[in-house]
Amino acid sequence: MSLLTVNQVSHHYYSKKDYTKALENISFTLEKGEFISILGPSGCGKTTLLSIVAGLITPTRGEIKLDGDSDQKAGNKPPMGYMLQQDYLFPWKTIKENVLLGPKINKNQASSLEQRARKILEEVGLPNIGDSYPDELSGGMRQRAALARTLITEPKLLLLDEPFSALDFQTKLRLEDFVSQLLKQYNKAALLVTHDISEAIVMSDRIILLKPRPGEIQEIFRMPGELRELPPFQARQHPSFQEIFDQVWKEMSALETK
Amino acid sequence: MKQSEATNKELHQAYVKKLKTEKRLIRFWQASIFVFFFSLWEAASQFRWIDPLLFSSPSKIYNLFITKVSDGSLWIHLNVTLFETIAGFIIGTIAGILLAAILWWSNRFSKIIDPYLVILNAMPKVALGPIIIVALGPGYISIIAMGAIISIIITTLVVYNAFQEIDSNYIKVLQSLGASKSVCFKEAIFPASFPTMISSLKVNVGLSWVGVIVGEFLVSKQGLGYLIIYGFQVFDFTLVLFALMIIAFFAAIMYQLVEKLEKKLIRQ
Ligand SMILES: Nc1ncnc2c1ncn2[C@@H]1O[C@H](COP(=O)(O)OP(=O)(O)OP(=O)(O)O)[C@@H](O)[C@H]1O
Ligand SMILES: [Mg+2]
Repeated sequence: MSLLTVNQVSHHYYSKKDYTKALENISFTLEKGEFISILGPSGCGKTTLLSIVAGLITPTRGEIKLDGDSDQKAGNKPPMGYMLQQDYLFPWKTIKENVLLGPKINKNQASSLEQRARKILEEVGLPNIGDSYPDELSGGMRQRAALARTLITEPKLLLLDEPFSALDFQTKLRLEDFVSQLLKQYNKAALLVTHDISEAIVMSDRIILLKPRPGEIQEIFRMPGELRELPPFQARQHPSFQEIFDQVWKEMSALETK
Repeated sequence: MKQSEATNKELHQAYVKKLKTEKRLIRFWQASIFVFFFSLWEAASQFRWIDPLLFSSPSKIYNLFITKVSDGSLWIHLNVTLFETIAGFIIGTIAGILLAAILWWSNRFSKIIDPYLVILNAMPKVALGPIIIVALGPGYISIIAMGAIISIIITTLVVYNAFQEIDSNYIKVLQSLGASKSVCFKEAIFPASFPTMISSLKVNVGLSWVGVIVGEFLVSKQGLGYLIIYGFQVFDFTLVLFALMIIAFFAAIMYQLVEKLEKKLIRQ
């Protein structure tokens, strides 16, 4: 059985006057250890889809299935780590307290946690700022802190909503490599929302392209094996990168002009 | 380079000096108003521009203050009123916040109860005085209840409003980490509304004084409110004004304490 099965999911947002179709008939599966990126124009329902997968919104129609052994109360750790589109760091908590929020909620009091928090902050490039408050950090630093908060719970499935959007190019490349390597190492799956075609190509095994309003699956691209094996940074230089980029680009431009 | 550094320092010193002068000027005018007001009052009373029987005079009030301090009766009245006010203030604030938490917990309950809260809020609470006194007896319990009831509903409404205003994405973050509703309350809702709660403390200080003084008007054998009503009955306006000033002084102190607390609790 797949780790995640999304089965004919549609979602409408209701207001008194009207309703908005955000998603229409979305179906796909995510295997263990697989990395899927979701591409699509702004407002096509990408955030909505992630929130539904995370179980934070109940879809109007359809269902989400998670593989049994990763589901529900496996050591009461949440099976998914969801990083929202904005950082939503709690302003009254220090960065360290923010990062340790997950373990705190799950009543994990291992003494090694402090050290883990420090290490993970170091790895996202934020050493020695554990005692600062979020408002003392720049946008990119906050985004990395939020990433650290999501990673520390070691979820089976990572849901990332544009996690690298506020970063400078260099940091972005470094973090892409870091996240990608982390996922490979522990054989974890991820669902990544992004606007950046090249990021989608170098990180993923498959790319789901959504149509605008309502979000419907336009096409699913499978990345060639040689790209999937390479770390993101090197994949960008691979000869077949350009080819697949053009293919996705064409498809996306066709959507816009429609 | 060196010279510009020096002039920079000078500029800064000039700025600091300007701030100081400004502050001194303000203090000077504040003191002037104080002196002017009391001198004018004293003079007006001495020269009979105003009726000294009605408006008394600062010197008479001061003399009364000395007597009341030396025979110890000031402390008795002051203690009673301060105790009632602080108790009313604390009970009113805590009960208001608890009620707000209950409303937050059950959305449906809060919708059902909403019109009743609006009515209760609009109603002048001191009008409940006689009923409270009949229900709780003519003692300090009733007076504390008056001090509390006057601030409960407004605290509930203001704090509940703050609870609702928090960005729901913070809740999403917590839920995605596996938090229950009570954890969401503890980690997000409550701390995010902290500034609102503190500022409602400031309002409640004033309200509790109103409730307690009115309560003492209605029933009591002791307290500053009692002194006012007693002075009024025996036509001793020196006593009335004396009690009024003591109230003003201590209400201001309580307010300042709450402000200090606010500075301490809220990180700037
Ligand atoms: N809470 C909400 N209530 C009503 N409508 C909503 C709500 N959230 C999103 N929508 C609507 O649903 C559609 C999809 O929104 P969503 O946030 O999922 O888009 P997105 O693909 O994440 O966009 P972006 O790339 O800009 O982040 C939009 O048209 C939006 O207006
Ligand atoms: Mg979005």
